[in-house]
Amino acid sequence: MKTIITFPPLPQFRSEDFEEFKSILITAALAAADQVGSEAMKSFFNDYKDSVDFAKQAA
Amino acid sequence: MTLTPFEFRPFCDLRLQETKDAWTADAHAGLAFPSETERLLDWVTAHREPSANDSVAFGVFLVGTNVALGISEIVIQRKTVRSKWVKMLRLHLRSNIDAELQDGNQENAMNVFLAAIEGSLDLQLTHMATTLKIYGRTSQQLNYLKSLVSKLNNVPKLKFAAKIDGRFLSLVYKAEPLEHP
Repeated sequence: MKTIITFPPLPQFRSEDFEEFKSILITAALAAADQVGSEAMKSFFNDYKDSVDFAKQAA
Repeated sequence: MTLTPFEFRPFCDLRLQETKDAWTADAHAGLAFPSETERLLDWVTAHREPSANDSVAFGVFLVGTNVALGISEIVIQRKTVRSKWVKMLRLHLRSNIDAELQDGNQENAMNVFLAAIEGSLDLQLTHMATTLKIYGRTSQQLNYLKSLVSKLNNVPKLKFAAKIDGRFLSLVYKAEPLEHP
């Protein structure tokens, strides 16, 4: 008797979902920046360029 | 959708050389620390090709130019047989954009940041990665990312699940399963 193994179907990635989400994300990101204020965003970018242990983060 | 004339690209030989020349000149003009700039550019040189679970360099460029305005570190990581993640770990701004930011003008910095996020979403789609993660190292970054999550979660019928997962903003694509033939 043969054993048939089936896997669940792979998800379908739709480019239009990603394009729609980009627009939503940009709007939300700008609104969030307004909410936290310019001084906080200055710190955000300064912190963001600081060094990180990437090997640790990638694990 | 692109709000700004930016593109998110890997570093070909020409982009690498022009970026090196410009960023090194900035550093020698006193706009950045030469040793840090040299270390960063050496890292870019050594990380132009994706490799398993290691980071890869992408640049944010004005369309039609070859000098990066931002350098981003990306990891494309397979978590399981059926699951991949794209992680955006950090973003370095070119010194002139950083200087504008310090003067209180954050528009270009935000544009570069948003272009990096858009580019990361493109990578997510290209690699069919279920999850995009954006790292927040400090409390300031996490506060911003939390604010972003709360904005996203106010959007009805979003095709992505947004949440803070440890120190990452996690954006998980809610893909439809393919029909069996």
